[in-house]
Amino acid sequence: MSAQQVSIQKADFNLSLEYEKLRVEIGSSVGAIVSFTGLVREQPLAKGGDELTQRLRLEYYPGMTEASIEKILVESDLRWDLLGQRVVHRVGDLEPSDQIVLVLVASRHRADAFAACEFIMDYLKTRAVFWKFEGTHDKGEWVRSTNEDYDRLAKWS
Amino acid sequence: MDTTRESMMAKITVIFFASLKEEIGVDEIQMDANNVGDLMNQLTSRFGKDKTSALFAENVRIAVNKELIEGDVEFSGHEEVAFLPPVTGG
Repeated sequence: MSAQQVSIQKADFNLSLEYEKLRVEIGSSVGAIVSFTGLVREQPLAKGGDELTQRLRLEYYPGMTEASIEKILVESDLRWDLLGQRVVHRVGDLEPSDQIVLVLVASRHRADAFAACEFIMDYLKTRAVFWKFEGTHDKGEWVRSTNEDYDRLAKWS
Repeated sequence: MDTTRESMMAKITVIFFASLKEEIGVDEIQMDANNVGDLMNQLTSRFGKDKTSALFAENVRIAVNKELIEGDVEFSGHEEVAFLPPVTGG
């Protein structure tokens, strides 16, 4: 079982600090650390029209959200030879170009870390217990998972 | 006896998330209920059929003490019951 750590927080994260912390923790058998940073993208609102996303709010269920992510990390641990996994996910009010999620995966060989990182993100997008509210400054709506997100899951089954 | 049954009812905390919070109009309430079925009936009489119809949607999941449940569950007291609309992921 690799070292796993999940944080849900309002505050922004620092990739360099998280990376350094993981690198020091996992010792000298590590050969690769893959990092993924997800940003809030400015895009047309799901409801259509010309308006673009100006804000995003993420709601979560303390305890259950962490557990849903830990479950994903247990699964990736079973599939690949990993040394460490770290997920930081932000909640609350965010704006386009804000950092929203960080995934770090450490392994002996790069192929494991690359694959696991992509797997974790694909599952985070569909299985993690978060609800997204997106909108302009004066209005908005709750988002649903996209078909594209579900299509990406199919390749891991 | 109704009175006995009343006194044995379990005190539970009910939480609504995301769109369901907006439908119902509150995020958390305390209620007395014996089981999930009983709770659903009470919610319907308290908030009305229109507001609570969203809770009965097929894709709404219920968690008791942060574990998803299938079907009905009996309450013993102090449970946290959460209504979860479909998650939208990270």
